[in-house]
Amino acid sequence: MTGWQPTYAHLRAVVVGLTVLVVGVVIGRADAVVIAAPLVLVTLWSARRPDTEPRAVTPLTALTVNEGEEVTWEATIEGLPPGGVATVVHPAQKLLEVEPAEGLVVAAGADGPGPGSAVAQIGLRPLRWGRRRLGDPAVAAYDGWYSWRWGPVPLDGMRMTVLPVTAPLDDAAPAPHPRGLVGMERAARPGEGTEFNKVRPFGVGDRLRRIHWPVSARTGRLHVTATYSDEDAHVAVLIDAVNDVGESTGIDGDKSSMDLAVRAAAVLAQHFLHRGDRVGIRVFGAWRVTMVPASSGLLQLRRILDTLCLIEPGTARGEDALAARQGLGAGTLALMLSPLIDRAATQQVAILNRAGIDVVVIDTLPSGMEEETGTTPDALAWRIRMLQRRVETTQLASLGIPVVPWAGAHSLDQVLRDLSRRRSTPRLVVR
Amino acid sequence: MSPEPSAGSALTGFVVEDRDGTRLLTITIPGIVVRILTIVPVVTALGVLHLVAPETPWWPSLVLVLLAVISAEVPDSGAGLVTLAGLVSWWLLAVPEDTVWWALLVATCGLVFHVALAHAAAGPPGATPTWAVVRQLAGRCGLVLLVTTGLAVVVEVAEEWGEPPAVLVGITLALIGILPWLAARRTG
Repeated sequence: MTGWQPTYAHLRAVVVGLTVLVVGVVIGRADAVVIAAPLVLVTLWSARRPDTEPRAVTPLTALTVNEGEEVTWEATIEGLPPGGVATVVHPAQKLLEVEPAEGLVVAAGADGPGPGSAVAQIGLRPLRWGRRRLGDPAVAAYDGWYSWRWGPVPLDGMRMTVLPVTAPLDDAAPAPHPRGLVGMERAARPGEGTEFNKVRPFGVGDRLRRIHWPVSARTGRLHVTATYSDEDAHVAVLIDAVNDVGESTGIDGDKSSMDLAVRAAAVLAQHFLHRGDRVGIRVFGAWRVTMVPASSGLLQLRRILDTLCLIEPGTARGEDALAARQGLGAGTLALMLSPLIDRAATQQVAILNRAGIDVVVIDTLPSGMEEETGTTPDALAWRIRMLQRRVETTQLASLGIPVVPWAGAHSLDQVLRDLSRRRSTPRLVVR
Repeated sequence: MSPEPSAGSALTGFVVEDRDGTRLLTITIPGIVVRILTIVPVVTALGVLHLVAPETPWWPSLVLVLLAVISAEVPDSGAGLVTLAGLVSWWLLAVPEDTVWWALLVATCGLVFHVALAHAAAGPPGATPTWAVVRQLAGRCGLVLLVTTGLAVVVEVAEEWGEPPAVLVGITLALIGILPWLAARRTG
């Protein structure tokens, strides 16, 4: 049995056209015949039910894109009747721009690779990071006069992974505690590297190409050029996902605290991984994701971005504050991204600092959230919390923990320089 | 398949959504054009009616305009049939004598109303047609109106001459006979 069904347009043309034609002939009104003529012609033209069997397919079932990137979703409809058209509608979703918003009507042949086929291309632009399943698109086919309809039939919706944007971080400041074996940080100890340390007498095992001939000739003893070893740093990006403060309206609009945290984490991870450092992330307050162990390389960046997509803030509460320290040793650079709304975040920062870990708190509270002038109980409670928050950040600063508001890629430059300068200062830590 | 920039990257509509992403209002240019092409032909046909028969009352015309507006809002319904049937009935009642050329204009309005409404019912009211769809529809409508004009010429000549000459009858029959062949040729 064919799926073609007559439409209201067909009914309209048949009923009005033939009735007016008959009435005109019966009462002898030529103008009625003229008025009925177009509808009768349309009726005759589309009298026959199409005998084709359309098929609609979409090659895209899963896609990974960046926030704000525009991609084309495509559906191919084959088996359209001659002169037929197809309507393709992709459903809208929150924080997803669909263009054309109300669907697309394409013609068989002219809009397709061959007769009887049409290709519909609809632009999709995700406005926020995350992993989502898009709604099921629908396709309906019509004959040339919209008198017969096939469908609408649903197509498989697409699984879309939207990676957070990674705006380039132009930061030349070094990480404070390089510890690994490879990388581009200058280590504290001499070794194989590129950065000059000193000229010293030749020793067993020194390479001949390191001999400094001018000094050797002047002193009469072989001297070599010693360098600092090049090593990497362990950077831990800690994300406070207990709360998502503020409203998110996409990449072009307002940003919530979670938006700022995720995008900042992506930027920081990309920056340090490109320098050859080992980067790991740890998320607090999100159920599906907890941590990505530290590693280096571009694959690690992709692993981190994929993990950041999965964060659903506020889905796990009451985690042990000591969990922040697991796997992090002294010398690790910990970058805590938090709006500092939950007291647990401040507690974790203090624990990390006591363990000798360099912590930089990156404040992700959206700008303007601190100013609350309402008189409702909620507004008063928020104002009290903001006052407490101010006290807590002052206490953190007194402990030597920098609290930097995230204002883009350059937020950390001066802080990292200060930490590098401070690393030579001896201090007591709890082991 | 790799993502690539969308071909139709220019915005074609204005969308108002609530916080959950549910669309409250969507205004698209194709949607506005289709609504205009649904309502304006009815208004034009009624204007012609009042021009030809100035003494007819206005209230049935206002009802028909209201029906046209309703049809534009719910195109996939019987409202279009009621509107079109009401328009033709009102014409036959209000205009006493044969006025073939004015009737040709009303027939054009009726066809435009019918096609615009059928297109609007093919999807969401603001669905964007490609230029190929627009060209195809315009071509088909032009062909139908050409045949209708031929018919009007035959009627006019027949009314003037009293008895239609055999040549004109033959041409008319040939036109009607050639139509299925033309349709098959164009669509094939």
